[in-house]
Amino acid sequence: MSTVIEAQGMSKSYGSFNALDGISFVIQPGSIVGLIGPNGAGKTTTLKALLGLIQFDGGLSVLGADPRKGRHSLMERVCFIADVGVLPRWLKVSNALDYAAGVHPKFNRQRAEEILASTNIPMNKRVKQLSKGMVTQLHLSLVMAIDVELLVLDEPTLGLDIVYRKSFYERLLNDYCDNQTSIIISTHQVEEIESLLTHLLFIDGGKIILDSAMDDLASKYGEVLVSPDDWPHAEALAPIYSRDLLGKKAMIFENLATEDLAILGDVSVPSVADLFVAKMRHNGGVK
Amino acid sequence: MKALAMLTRREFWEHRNTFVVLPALIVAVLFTVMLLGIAYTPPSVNFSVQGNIPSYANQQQYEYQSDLTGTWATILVTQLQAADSETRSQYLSVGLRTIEGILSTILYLVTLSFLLNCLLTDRRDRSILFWKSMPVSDQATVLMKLFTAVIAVPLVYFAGILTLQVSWLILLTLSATGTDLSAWETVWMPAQLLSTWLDYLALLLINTLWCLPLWGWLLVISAYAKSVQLIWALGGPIAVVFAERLVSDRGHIKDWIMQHCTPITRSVDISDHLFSINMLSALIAGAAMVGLAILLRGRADEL
Repeated sequence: MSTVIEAQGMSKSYGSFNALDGISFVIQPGSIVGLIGPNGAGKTTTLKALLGLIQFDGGLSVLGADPRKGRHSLMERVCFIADVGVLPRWLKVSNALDYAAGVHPKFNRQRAEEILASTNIPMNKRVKQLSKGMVTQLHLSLVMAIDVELLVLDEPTLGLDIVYRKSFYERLLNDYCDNQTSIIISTHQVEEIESLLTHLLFIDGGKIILDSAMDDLASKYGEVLVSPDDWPHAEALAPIYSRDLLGKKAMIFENLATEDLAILGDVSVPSVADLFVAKMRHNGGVK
Repeated sequence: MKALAMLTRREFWEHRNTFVVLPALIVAVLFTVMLLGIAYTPPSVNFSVQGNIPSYANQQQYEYQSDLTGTWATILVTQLQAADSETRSQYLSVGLRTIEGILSTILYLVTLSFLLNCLLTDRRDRSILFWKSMPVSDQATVLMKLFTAVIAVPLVYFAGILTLQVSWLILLTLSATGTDLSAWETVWMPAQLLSTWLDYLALLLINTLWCLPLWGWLLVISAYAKSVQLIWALGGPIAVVFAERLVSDRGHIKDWIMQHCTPITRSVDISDHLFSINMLSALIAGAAMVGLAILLRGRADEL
């Protein structure tokens, strides 16, 4: 099966601001990709480019098509949830189902109704009468009833409380992930999606600063809690990140063999959140 | 086809108040006024009417004076029965076209407001991201908004006109009961309802084309402007007219703009407009502007 997304030298500028600076990456079928980056890094611009919502320079193929040409036909195979506030406030829940059934050939209304029945969202309410969490549940219910090849989620749980966030990702994991559909998620809440991901893309300043399969992280990155006696030796190995922890230093190293690090202490794979901070600081993005 | 119909339904969900509730309210208010007409008996009436009757292809003077008693409706029925059949038709057409005029004026304002905002509000509230996540082309989106504004909504208002006109004639029929002439001869036959309605529908279709530059221009502004869309909508034509005055004092462009901002009414000869260079230019300019609106919609993003 060919790649789901193939980006080559994608660039996008808003005036003098380079939102995307020649980024390239590939996403394979069945991947669940975390697109992680600080505010203004280019996450939303990247996702909008994938969806054909903006013009840009460079090459991009999504499911074999250029999204700049024929967005609407691509949307039969791609679903998209932006952050919680994009469902029109005047829309009734029942109308949302009617609309999707009317315009989307792959929408399964019965499935959407079954999913909604398991929530406490009333069919006769308007979006403006629902809580933020309910609106997200509604949008996810619509999307989960559409049989697509790629799902794009841009900060889907932004502003939601922990209960709704956990419920959202549990539902996504249990009811949607089937090794057939690829998912690309942009979020700040890295810890909550870490267990879902098969692939990581870190983006900063419009550039990809990390592009790795989750399974490859262990061979590329190691984290060691270094005692003060070993600090000079550890510093000589050029950690990409170091932070004080209980009188020691937690250091993250890149592209070093585990046996080289083991002399400093127990080597573990850094969490995505720690790796994210490490790469941002190493890249000069976060001080 | 199912998808296109859904795009029109979606507009009615969003704009239910101005597309359905408003004409229904106006029908209810005007019907109440008519009921007062058959219930209210003025102490005495000096019935005096004079002026022009707007007719399809010509205009005629009429003048009538009389002291009458009875309800407003019985007074009118008495006058209708005293008149010859042609004059009856002219009297009734004043009433029928007044109903038509009130609802058509409001429809015109509703259409202008809808087209000026329809591609802007979803960028403002970010719901454009939801609409664009569905497999609906920008062409279909823009063209169905245009269809909704200039065909679907006018048909709803036409249903209101039709309801009110029939109601008015029924009320006059009640007042004509027991008189020498039948209600058919007094009211229904001279009212020529069918031809009145067919004329209205023909005008509706012709105005869709005649005013296409106006509809297209409003769509362009709606797709382009980020705010103050009314100023953009007025400012563009004013700037063009001003530029024309700087280079020429003939005012052709100004006249053209004014003509195509004003729907054709029954008082003019439609055939003069339908097959003319003026209409052709309107179609070309209008189609270009609708095309530009589609292009802008394709590049539109949340604000």
